[in-house]
Amino acid sequence: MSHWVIAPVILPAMMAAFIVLVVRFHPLLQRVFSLAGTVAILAVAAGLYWTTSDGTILLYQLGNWAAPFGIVLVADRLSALFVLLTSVLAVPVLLYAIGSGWDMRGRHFHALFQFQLMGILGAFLTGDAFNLFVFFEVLLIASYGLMIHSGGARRFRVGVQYVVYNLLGSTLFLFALGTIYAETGTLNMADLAQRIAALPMDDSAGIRVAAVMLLMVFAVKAAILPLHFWLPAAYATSPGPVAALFAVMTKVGAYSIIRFYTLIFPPDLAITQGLFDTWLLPAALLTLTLGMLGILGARRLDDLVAFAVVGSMGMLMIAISVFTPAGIAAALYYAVHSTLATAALFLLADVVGERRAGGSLGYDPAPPIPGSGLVAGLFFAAAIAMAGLPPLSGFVGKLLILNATMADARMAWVWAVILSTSLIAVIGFSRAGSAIFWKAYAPEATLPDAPPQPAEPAPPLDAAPRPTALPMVAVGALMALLVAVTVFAGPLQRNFAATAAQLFAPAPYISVVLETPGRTVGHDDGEGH
Amino acid sequence: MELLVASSVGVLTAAGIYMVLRLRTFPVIVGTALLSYAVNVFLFASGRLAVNQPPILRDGVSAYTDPLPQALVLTAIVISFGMTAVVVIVALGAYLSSRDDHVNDRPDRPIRQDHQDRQDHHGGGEGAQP
Amino acid sequence: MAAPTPVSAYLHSATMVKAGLFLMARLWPVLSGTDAWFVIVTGTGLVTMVIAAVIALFKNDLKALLAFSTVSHLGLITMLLGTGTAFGAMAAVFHILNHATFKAALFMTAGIIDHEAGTRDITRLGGLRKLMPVTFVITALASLSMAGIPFFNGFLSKEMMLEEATRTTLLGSPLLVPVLATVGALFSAAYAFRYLVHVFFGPKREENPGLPHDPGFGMWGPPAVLVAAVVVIGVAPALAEPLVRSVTAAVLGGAAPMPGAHLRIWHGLTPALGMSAIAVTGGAVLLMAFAPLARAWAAAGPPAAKTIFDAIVDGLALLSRTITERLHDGALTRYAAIFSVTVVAVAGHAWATGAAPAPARDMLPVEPLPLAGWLLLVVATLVLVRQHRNRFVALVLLGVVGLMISIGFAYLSAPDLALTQLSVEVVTVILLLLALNFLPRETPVESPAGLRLRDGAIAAVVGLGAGALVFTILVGDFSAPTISAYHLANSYKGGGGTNVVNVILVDFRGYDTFGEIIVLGIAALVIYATTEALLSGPVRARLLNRPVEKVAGDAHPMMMVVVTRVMMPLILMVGVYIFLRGHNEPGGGFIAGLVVAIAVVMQYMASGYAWASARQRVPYHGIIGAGVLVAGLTGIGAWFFGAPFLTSTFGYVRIPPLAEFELATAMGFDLGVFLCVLGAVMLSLDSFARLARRAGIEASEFDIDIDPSRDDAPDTGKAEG
Repeated sequence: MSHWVIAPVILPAMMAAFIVLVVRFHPLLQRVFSLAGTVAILAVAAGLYWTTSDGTILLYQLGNWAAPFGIVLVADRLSALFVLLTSVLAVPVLLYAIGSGWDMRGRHFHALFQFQLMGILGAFLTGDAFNLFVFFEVLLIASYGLMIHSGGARRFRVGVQYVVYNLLGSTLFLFALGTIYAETGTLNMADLAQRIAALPMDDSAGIRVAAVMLLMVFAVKAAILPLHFWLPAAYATSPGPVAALFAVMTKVGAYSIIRFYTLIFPPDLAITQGLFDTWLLPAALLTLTLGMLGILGARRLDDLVAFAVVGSMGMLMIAISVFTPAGIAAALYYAVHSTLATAALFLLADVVGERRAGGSLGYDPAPPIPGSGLVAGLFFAAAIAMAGLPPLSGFVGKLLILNATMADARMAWVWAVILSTSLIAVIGFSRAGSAIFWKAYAPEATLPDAPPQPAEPAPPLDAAPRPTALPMVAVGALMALLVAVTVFAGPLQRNFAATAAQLFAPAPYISVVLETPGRTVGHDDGEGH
Repeated sequence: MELLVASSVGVLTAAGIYMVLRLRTFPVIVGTALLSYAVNVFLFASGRLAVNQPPILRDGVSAYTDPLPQALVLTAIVISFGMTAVVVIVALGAYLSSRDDHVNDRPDRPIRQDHQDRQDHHGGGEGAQP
Repeated sequence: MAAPTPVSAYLHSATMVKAGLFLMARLWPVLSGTDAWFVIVTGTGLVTMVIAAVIALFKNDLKALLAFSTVSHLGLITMLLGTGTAFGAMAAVFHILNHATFKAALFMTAGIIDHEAGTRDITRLGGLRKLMPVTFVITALASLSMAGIPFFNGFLSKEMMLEEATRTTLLGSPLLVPVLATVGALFSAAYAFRYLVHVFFGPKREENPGLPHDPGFGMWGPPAVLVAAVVVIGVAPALAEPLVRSVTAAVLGGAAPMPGAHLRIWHGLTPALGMSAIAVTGGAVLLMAFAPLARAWAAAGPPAAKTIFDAIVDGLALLSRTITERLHDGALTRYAAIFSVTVVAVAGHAWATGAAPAPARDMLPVEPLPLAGWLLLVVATLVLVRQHRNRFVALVLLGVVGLMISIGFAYLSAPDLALTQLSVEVVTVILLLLALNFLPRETPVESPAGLRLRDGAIAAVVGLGAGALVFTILVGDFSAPTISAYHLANSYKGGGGTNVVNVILVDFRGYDTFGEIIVLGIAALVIYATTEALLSGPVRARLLNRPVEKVAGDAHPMMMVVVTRVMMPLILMVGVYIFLRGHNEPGGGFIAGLVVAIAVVMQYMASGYAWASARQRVPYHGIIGAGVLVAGLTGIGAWFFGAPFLTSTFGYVRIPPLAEFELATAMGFDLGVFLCVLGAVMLSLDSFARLARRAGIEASEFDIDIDPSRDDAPDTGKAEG
């Protein structure tokens, strides 16, 4: 059994503990260790992706207990993809946090960052429903800390809302898990798939309730209407690099929906007919519409990007909600694209806020920011990607989704909404871009000895070196990734199609998880089923 | 007995939701605590109820209650304690930095001095303390 | 429109703007015929056609006139593609061809005029017929084609368009499309006539910068070729038919049969011919009345495209902003209410559409004592809701509720849960008390009765749902044997413990526990970081200025100090005992951690923060970090024996004076849990206490604070507990 499967969880956990225990007085060492840990995770994630890319399913039995009695980690194509996506995102985001000095504007940024990674990666890798809850909580509580990093009245106020709303979500998660355990007597995801498929039709009420409650838990994470209310303010208020990392947090919800509703409650399962297949798509369409309206109506750049996240989750969920291999494959491509694009936009919004006089992200006229050409160019590219215009990845993703929904009965609705909301998004982005970059005026009253200074909301707590090129390098790296995702759309799409095929043929997954023997103790009556 | 447990869960959930829907942070926190009680009992009940059958192995005893939900509830209790602690400090931070313990946020109305004065005026602030 | 003339001739009439048409034509087989496609595409096309034609008529710049005319014709083609009939598609294809010929020719003549006369302003041009006869002929042929005069190709496709329009019913009205199409054609004729008449007829303008004359063949040759095509197709449409048919077939893509219609000049006295006549006549009339119309147009404030665009965009943005900001008004109470209602509605729907089995289990009897406990729980909860405005009362009642639940756990065979619930309850209440130190003591009445009623109704429905769900679960049975049978069977042999819950926590599901202590550790870090953020900001000054509270006469009573000192080692002993027996009896690292934490907190309470923290040598951060590391390394230790993370082993050890006791590697893990819990609880309480200490404290006490350097130099980055 290869220990690499658990490395993406253990590595950040140990690194965070080490940072707290040993180097919490040394900003430079914190940065070095945090960055080294993140790069190491990226290497491991790439290895996992490579290993699973031929269809191999890696199983890791914690404590050497066989499933379903112990907890198992499972790395299949889907898990490995999201693990890789998270770790690819983490490196530029961390670089940005270091380069912009955000990490030193409060305590324990690096420890929380590592714990956040641990939570997200753990959620992608686990094969146990209750363990998924535990890792949701790990990633949530770390996100609470990161969100209010460096404090501020409004951030705390919005933080309260973010925490309370997610506490409601966690409560619902436990209700759902309790119901699932009460109905099936197990928690392992593969075992659940088997047991739920064998449930009698005259005992469907409980499991139906559990299925929709779980879906709503994941919909909260994925910010699907009408359970998305926590997101816009929280993301807009978070520090830039934190919001950029959060771009992948919503994908945890999307991942869970894909995992649970292909493995445990597959679309052809008789006992859950007439539930999510009915109303997930309308909810996704509404989410997309609302997100794009938010882009157009935003008064500030950070609000705009937050709504772009909502819109992109709507788009992603449209692709998921048709529950076909083509839909899932398109969704995976769009997930990769939208994670990178929204993260880049959050970082760019932060760059603008740092450099703009007064630090305001509003659309009011302000003097042009220093280095405006590069920032504007990058913003333009990221906006094109996000709005789904050619030639960047958003266009490819949108085409794939349009294509995947072609066979659906509600295709006319889907196409109409996607195409018209794209137009709205284009207008919204161009409004924002022209307000921030083009309508900037040259300050007449500026004294020659007082050039516009980059605004600094809070002075850094220490005098650690602060290389100024690093933020733009980080943003550039994200944009380069977006370009790569566009250029290699073909191979990626073939890979994602294979991933989707693996999801819709879960028999190997189930047999790997349930038929691998664990440690041998006297099995007198141990076999639960 | 089952009815008692079920009605407890119902009452605790209802009380929790009602408190979460209040306008100030403290009742909201109390509401989340009540909700976590409710869901812990719920999760515990998913193993069904048993009296005098603790899951501690004894010679000659063969009937034990389901230990797994108990372990899950233990995890959930600890996690909800951590969450409560965090929500308390965030709420405290919100109150201390704006002297306003409303949970609702009005983006169009930035937190200003006059706002704080208003809070103090109707007894929400520290002016009301002895 | 601002491009050099040959470029605009190429762009406007032939290629770039037609790229959009190409896309629509390509999508035609897939999309046409659907209602959405028809309404959107045909509607947009019609509106574009009419509005652009009207604007074109009043443009004084030759190229602007042609540009808006191009927009109008694109609208026309779009409309044809939208109707979804094969005939419409054929007309569209034919018009694309015809439009390309006459419009490109016209753009080139505009260029010639500009080149020769030095201006493109129609108001400054006139009488060029004599000066530039060749250009005049070319322009006349092309513009008559654009106006839709018979024997030119523009007439043919416009006829087809009008014919298609008569067959099209939009928004339930059979008249809408024909009327609008005629209006569009009318304005189209008008601006075509204007282009011809105002430039080439009328008096010669003396103020022309140069003396215009026909250019060389190199300049008029290309438009002449195009105009030749205009005339040839117009007279003998059959020549163009093979091309049109093959392109139309490509557009249809087999989705619809080829229309049988042929391209010909005379179709008989059809309604389309009448509409065409109306359009041409009307266009001529319009041109005659042009001067007053132009004045009226100018007076009405001609809608500049940019203004319209800006107005539309601003309107859309305002609309979007209104929608999103009303939805996201920052009211958590509303968000939570929507959440609750959604959950209940969706879950209720799922329940109602499923089938619930009959109860399978007998209910346990209700005994008097549990009944009393239940009564206390329910009453405490209800009173809490009723009296929640007094926050101390609410807190006390919350404690009562927690206590009752803990007793309930004990009664229902869950001793571990009871112990944990109890100790967590104590720590939670201390925490909330500390917080209440800063918060207002009362909750004011703010929400109106109606709102409270609504909230009460939502809460009641959610409560009913949860209660009903748990009740059906309690009287139902597992559908398959639960996996915990394995845990009971293997706890002793495989995990080395008789307390199955503890073995599950540290062994079977130790990974959950690993996550759980990390949650706790993160919570402590977050609390610490927040405290630091608060103390380094403006809040600190505010805290320092808080009014001093009335306190009890003796802050650290002698009795309490003595008792807590004596009890300290005792409680520590109890903690160790609980820790060690955890594997076999109720207890374990978590509870032990809480017990020890409470013992330390008692020292703080009895002797004051300064005294206790001065004697506290190990930083809580370190304890948390060490806890996570110990737990993690215990798990990793298994790797060296070739086993997965957290694989446990155990053995029995006998140290002479003591009874034989058991050592399991899981205990190393449990030690990590213990340390993490202790560190996390203490760091949290400590952070709260530090906030409190800022208030009403003499400055002289600062020098025994944890780290004095922080107060003077907030930017050293070394201020840690």
